[in-house]
Amino acid sequence: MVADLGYVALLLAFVLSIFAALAAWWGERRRTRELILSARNGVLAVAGLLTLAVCLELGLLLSSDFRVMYVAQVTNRAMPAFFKLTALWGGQAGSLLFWSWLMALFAAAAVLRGWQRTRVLIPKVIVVTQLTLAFFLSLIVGVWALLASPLEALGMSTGAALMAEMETLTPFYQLDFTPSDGRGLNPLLRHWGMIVHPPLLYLGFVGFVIPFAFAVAALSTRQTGDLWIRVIRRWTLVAWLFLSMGLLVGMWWAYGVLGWGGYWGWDPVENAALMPWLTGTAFLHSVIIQERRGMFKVWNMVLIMITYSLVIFGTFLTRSGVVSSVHAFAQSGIGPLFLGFVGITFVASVLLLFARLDSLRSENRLDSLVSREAIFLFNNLLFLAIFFVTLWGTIFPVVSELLAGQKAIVGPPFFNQVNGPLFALLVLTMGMAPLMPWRRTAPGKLARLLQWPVVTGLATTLGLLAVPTLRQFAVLPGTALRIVPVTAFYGLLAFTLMVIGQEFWRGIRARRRVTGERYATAWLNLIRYNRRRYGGYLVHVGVVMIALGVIGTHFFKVETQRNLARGESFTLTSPLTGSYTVTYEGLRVSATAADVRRTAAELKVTREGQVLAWLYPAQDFFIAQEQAVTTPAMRHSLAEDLYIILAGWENGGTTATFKAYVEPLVNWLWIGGLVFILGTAVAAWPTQAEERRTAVATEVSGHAVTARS
Amino acid sequence: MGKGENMMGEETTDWTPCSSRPAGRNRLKFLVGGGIIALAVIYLIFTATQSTAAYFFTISELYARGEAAYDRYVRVSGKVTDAPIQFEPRELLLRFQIADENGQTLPVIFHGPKPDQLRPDAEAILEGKFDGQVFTAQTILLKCPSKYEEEKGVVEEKVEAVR
Repeated sequence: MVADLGYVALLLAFVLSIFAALAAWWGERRRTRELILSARNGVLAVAGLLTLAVCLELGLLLSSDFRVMYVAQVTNRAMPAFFKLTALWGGQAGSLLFWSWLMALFAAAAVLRGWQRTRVLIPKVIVVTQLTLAFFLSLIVGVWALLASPLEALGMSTGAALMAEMETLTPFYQLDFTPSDGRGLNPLLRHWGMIVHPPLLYLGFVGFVIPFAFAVAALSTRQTGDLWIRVIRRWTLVAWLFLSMGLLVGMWWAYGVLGWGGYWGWDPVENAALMPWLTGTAFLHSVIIQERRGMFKVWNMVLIMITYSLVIFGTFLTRSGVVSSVHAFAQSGIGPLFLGFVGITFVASVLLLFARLDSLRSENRLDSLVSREAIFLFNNLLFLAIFFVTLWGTIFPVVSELLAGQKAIVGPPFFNQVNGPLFALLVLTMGMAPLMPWRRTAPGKLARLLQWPVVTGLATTLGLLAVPTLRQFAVLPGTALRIVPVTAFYGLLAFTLMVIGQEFWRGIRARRRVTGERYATAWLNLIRYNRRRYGGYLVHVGVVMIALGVIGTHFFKVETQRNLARGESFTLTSPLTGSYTVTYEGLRVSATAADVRRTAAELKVTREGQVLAWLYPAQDFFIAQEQAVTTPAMRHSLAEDLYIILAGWENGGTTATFKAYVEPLVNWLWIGGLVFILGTAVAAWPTQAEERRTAVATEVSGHAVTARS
Repeated sequence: MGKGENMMGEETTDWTPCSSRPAGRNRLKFLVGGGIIALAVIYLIFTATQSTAAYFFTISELYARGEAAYDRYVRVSGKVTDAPIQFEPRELLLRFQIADENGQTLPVIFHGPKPDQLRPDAEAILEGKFDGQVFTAQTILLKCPSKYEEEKGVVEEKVEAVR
């Protein structure tokens, strides 16, 4: 009964989303206010209906109604209520419903927020968001199953089989029997990281649809002036914030739960989330140039279009099984449909772009190679290059099979080799940009500003080269050549940090001269009254800290693997802090939850006879799923983590196998992530001055419309 | 990669609708600079792809390639056979066999812990090197039928050898 109601709500939402798109389209063409109003109400109704559908699905999950296939797939009776709720995004059908719901909410918010201020753009925003939503809803209401018999009639039996399967993709699909218990959520996903990671990522994905919708609206109505750029700034920042948080939490989860001592494996699904982040970040930067100087208009359009395609492509990669991945859910027929949708929307938006090229004339020229504009362009090229490298590596298995007839993959070494130097150059542009004024740079002033940062950078590099443990490390086979790029990279980070520090210092000094404030007050006010600029700098400081951790773990990670009898120990030498001695004291079995049996090893960690910590790496056996999950144990410090996994044991624990890692500077990655998020929030916070500028832009475009009609 | 250049091409119309003197020279410099970066990135991608790509072989293909496949990082898949799975925990030395559909078998050696899912009939994807006799695996990825999602779902387990 509840399931039927949910399905009806979905179906109505699907029909209404198409209606809203058509009504907005016609309303705009015919200049019929009533139709546009009706489209707006459609958007709101869709959001309401999907909210209802999500509530009903949650009710089904909570009440363990296993007749509903999705409920039986992702939950079981033994699961705590909280995990039953989060199982909403634990499987394919549920995630698609969840995605659609977020999309509907974002679309409704964008329409309501922009109803007055961006009246000219709203109809097309409705068209784009509702069509995107209609596509996603079409997957989970099972309309594609209707294609099965025509395809069968045409003799395309594989296509028909794929389409017939689409019927079961509804999160409300009911079996013709009621299983006694469900299969339960994948144990790996029972972790708070995996509970917040998908929603964050989806908020980021969905969020980027809004700037794209405004971009298309601006193009098609030829309102390519200031207005849309100002309106989407906050949407873009918010989407970017969520995507960044999603990526960071995903890394944190991988590190803390997957137990392989790493946080980023260049897995296709990780890349799928990283790629829109890369192009989105490029967009975030280059759009500033358009705002300030009226340049790069075509470029910005291209970037937001690519980002939109990547967001959809990203959802597709995680949901199709095209590229096999540790994270991918089961395969299904939605693959071709997704590819078709991405292809059509990309081609359509590029065609629209070509048709409107004349309205995107640049208002200014690039005056000098040494200017803010030029370095932003360079930064954009680097982001795009990293994006292409990542894309190439991700689709390489498919490409090599098509072109060379031989399936092959490239792994992390490929990405690190190519993207590593590009990321280093990116840090360099990040450091240089604040020193470059708009238009052109006076060489004398630039030299003066560069003085201290360059000295700091060089001193850091030379200082690190002089550290004996690092030199020792460089003597190890295969590491001799590493020491040079590593120290150079750290020098670069110091340079960047110094530039940002100098910027803050100059700002504080200027404020103090005018207002006579104290240092702390001046610093706070500096950020308060220039949120975008100094929020941006905070983000950059976060990036520097993240890079500190990434380089540390990439180049100085130490690992070993041992089988120990009770009482035996091994030592592991850290490049930063000295040796750890790890002694195996025995195994202990306990029950951590009703359906989980934990086998934990007791390890004593000592250094020079002093006990540093007791660590308990474990294997959790999930009885219902008959699956074991390794739970690493860690000793954290700002310098490094000692990270140990229980890999297995023999004879009830007389001997056990451990894998141990020293992860230098890894915690700077997480601290930097927090600074990064904080900085983004500061930059995204609304300011009054900005609201005024948007109001002015609205008026200007209003006049333009009146003048035209 | 052609796409990237295309986009660059489009962008040039953006900066300078009508090419004039000083800006024209700048535009040229930018095109040259952008071109150099693009070429450098393409070169990096090309060489890195060549040096790091691991080809997928079936066991029969691996034997058929002969010496050409020796000591190259490759990926081989097959089903774990009924042959005894030997594990010496003290040395962390694991030996087992995989076979493809034609019944071709490949002896495998692995330095590392024994994965839980390693049992006869499990589907194994191995990455490592073949010396003509034994395949030394660097990573083992095992796929077993999963209890989650549809029947096609799989549980994957990946283990890595000590470096």
